[in-house]
Amino acid sequence: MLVSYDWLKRYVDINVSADVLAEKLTSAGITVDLVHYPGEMLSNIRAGRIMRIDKHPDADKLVVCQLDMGEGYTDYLNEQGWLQIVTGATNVREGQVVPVALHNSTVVDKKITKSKLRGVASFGMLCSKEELNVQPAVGDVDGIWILDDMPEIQPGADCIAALLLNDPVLELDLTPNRSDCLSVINLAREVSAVLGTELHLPEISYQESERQVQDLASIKVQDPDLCPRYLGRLVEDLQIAPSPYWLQHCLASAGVRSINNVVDVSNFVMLEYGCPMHTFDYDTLQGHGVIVRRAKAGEQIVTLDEQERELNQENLLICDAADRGICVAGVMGGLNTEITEQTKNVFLETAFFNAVSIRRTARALGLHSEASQRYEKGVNVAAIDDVSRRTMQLLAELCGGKPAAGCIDCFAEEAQAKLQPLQVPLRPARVNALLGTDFTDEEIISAIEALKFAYNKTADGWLVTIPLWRQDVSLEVDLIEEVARLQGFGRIPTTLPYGAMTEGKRTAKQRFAEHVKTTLVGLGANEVINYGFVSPREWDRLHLAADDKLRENVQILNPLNEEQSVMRTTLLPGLLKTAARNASRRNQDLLLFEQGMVFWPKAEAADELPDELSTLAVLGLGHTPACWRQQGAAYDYFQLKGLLEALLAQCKVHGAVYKPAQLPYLHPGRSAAIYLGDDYLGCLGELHPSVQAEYELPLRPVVLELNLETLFQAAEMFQQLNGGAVYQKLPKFPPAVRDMAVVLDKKVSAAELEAKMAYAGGKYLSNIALFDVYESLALGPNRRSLAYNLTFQRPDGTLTVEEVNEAFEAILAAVQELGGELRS
Amino acid sequence: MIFDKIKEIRAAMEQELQEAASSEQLRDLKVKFLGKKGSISEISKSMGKLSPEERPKAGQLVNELRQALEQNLARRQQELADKALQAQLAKEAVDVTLPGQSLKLGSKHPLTLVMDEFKEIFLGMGYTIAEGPQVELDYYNFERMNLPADHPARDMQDSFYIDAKRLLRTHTSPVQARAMDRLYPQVPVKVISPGVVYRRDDDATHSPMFHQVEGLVVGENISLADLKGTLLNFVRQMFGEEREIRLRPSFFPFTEPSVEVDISCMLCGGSGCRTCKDTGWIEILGAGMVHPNVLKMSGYDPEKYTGFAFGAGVERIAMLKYGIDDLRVLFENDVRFLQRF
Repeated sequence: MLVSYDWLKRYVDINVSADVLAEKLTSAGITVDLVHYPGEMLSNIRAGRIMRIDKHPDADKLVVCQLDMGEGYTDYLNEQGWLQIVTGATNVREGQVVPVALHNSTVVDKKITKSKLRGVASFGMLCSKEELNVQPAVGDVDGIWILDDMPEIQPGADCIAALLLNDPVLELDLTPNRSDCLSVINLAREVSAVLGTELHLPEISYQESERQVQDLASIKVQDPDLCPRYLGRLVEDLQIAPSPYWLQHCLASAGVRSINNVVDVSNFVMLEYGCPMHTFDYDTLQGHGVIVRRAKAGEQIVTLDEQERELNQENLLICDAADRGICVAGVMGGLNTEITEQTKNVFLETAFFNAVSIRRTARALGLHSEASQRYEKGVNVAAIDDVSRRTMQLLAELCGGKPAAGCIDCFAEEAQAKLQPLQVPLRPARVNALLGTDFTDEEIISAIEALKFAYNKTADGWLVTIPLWRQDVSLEVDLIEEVARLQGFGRIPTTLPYGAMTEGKRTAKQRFAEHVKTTLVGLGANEVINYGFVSPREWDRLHLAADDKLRENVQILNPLNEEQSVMRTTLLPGLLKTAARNASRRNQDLLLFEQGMVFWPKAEAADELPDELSTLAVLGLGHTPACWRQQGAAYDYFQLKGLLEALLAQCKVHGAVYKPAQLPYLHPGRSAAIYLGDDYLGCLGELHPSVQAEYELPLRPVVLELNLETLFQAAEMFQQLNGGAVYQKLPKFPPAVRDMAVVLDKKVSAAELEAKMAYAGGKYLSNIALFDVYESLALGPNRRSLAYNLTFQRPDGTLTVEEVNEAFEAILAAVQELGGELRS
Repeated sequence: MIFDKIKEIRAAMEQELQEAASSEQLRDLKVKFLGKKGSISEISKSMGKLSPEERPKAGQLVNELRQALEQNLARRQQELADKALQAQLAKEAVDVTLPGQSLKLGSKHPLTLVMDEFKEIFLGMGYTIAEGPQVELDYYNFERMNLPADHPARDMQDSFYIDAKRLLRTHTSPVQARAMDRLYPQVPVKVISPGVVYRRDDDATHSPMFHQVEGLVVGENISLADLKGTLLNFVRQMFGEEREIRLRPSFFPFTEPSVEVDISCMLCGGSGCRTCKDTGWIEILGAGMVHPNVLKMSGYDPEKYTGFAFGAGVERIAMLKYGIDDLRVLFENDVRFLQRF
């Protein structure tokens, strides 16, 4: 909403500057985003009368004007006392008063100084509206701005002041509850409450003709649920003409272009009262009447913007008596009954439409007009007659129209209840309790008085009558807010809640989630945050089969684009794209992690929410940091497995089992599914080379994705079993350590071998540590050597050589059962 | 005669000790002078030839000689060891300005850091942390926040819908409604709800997904002044002890009165700069007294209980705190950026 300072001053006394007013309104909750000074660049513009026009001796397209600049002006005048200016404009005539930019003046985008044009001296410039930053009206002739229709402006007048060229414009950012301030009058009420100054609302009066509206027009409302009130008036014999400058100025400051006096008046009154109306050319209404009804499915109408619109039964349509659509109610008029240069008689509609219906219609048609914007937010039903009469008054005053007598007011009975103002109690004790203040009764009620709300005293406070223009106030808390904002929030003291102590603590799961993050940071990973939605094409990039569970995603009905159209079912696409983006910026060594939700639909039922699984994903690419004394290690399966093992150890989770995984996006020979007991924890592996190509990654990344819920449950279980850690006395006796290198088939996994060794080694085998893996054809085809340190320990004494040998032999026997042998 | 000999040995010993350059030579000297066939043994053997008057004097001199020899040997031994150690240390010296072994630390995302700080501050004030689903029911996201269907204020939060009843939450307020449902009729309710939210907006200053932390207190005698005090406390911990706050009236459907909260600019201290657009104040969060309808819908009697609520955008706070001037870098996840936190 834009409104000029001068326009506001027509309704309320303002004793402060526009900037101060803006500040005061803002601190009272009517936010003024900006005060525009449309003419701040202008200087030295004076009205002058063209006394004489001569042809330029050397230029066909230029003329030489002599101007009377009024009393008191002396610079550069010739013998006759005139100022000579050369212009190329074609609309100048002798006798006209025009704005003159003098020597050393500024207009839009330029500085004016005296000069010579084709050898003839010119001591300034005659100005067009554009050069003075004024928007031309629709019918304006190109050229110099002729001021003849403003007799009050005489030669010598300071044009910047006289033409309100630098009238400040307040740009308001209204909150949705204060749509009442989409009216200049209601805004003036607010100004009056804030400044404590007098209001001067327009007095509405006009002369009616002998002719009765009832005899000349008819109104039939068929769907009063969508149109509780429809009020019609008629004005005859008016003259379409340009609007007076003051009206053009008001509209221009509000960003509305001047069209002609009739259209301008309806726009002006709409902005004044915040209540839209519509004007029809009465003579184009077939049957001289209107019918208000729901549109039929598929019914079409050509609107003022010359677009054909298709409607349905949700839309309210205004028709003429011949049932021909003439206006999409509250949104936009029809072309067939538009006001034109030829219009003589105008039928005026002021109405109260169902806000929801207008909102839906405006949305469906993609038409958000000044009118629909106001109807959607609800207009004041009580103001409708005033709005109609005010329009009549101005159509009579400015367009020479003759208002017919009376009106037709179709006002549904149920809706008339809306004319009954609400009464809301206001208790000072409650005000102070809610605000934490100690306002006196006088301070409280003075705010209500400033707003011009009526009230009666009651036992514990007041009963306040809420005026109909303030539909946002309906509860005591609303009144308390009025008191707070008018007394100023600066008066609210600063205290802390007192009462029962509360315990501020995290849940076990929250602590766990933070612990996981901290651990990963300690292990060198950088946390990333990606969007929760992805493109469904990611599932193809991951080479998921058509029936893969990860393709079952939650779909967004109205995404901004395909890239953000489904909720992620895995964190991997986000991480892979992040890695690719980094790699393309030459960040080639990466260890990234993301902790976030993935979304798995549960059911089709509309009130079922999807499962949101807390998930962790890690990605390694390139190498661990190198330094001058050591090369970085490649991020491969084992590098990331080491990180996972450290994470699990830090979570005190033991016994993870790794099984070769068969996932379409992971390398089939370098990936594992991880289990904790029977529970699937997640997967770990190098990316499948063809998926790597899909994401345009220069190197093969290794990734890890875990279900944090499962990990948390496991960590909790271990925590409960033994408090998370088991104390054991440190052994007093020395251990015996033996090495064993065995050669066996590659198909035997290390985990399988170690399980057998552990079982065979007996109770004194305290540790099995792999220290070498060796493959060579010399060992035989498909065979490899695994070398272990075996530690034997007895808690109650030193082991004898025989005891150790016995265990060693038992282990060897187990190895041999697996087809292995000692490496020679 | 014997006395001359002792003198002679003493002089030879001192010279040879001084000339010895290795511990081997010292060992040889020890044998030469102190060994069974060494000079001192020889002298001792010849003492028998002395007169009884001379013998004690000679014995004393021989002992002194032996002691001196042993002491000097030990001293010399130490000197040589010290020298050898010095030589070794000198040889082992490194350029201490070379960098250390690279042990890379990772980093938390700046948004996580801000949310962690939020949590610490409010845990310290006795709040618990509430969480809830990101795909939420319209009922919790809007209706329970006093935003019935077709309410014009729904336009303030353009939403991503799944279907007529489900959407991506546009704020973390539904978590508060769920928390009140869970806790009713318990008071006081003191929770914060940090989390991811989504709005249908994507430009230089809006991200379609972003983070919020909201807070809620419900109890007896909770006032706007308590809200102001709580936020002042928060702001000073988050942005420094010198910060002041200012409340401006605003509108949210779920609070009444509603306020915008500004803090005195941390860059210029309030005198005006580019960051605060020369106003000295920076808008930081929205807040207000819980609307009676919201309390009622959770079962709390608004005549008996009151409450306050606030909500802040984590991105905005992170940008202010770390001086980030472009929202988008937060979601680009460039490691050079991440590594700075």
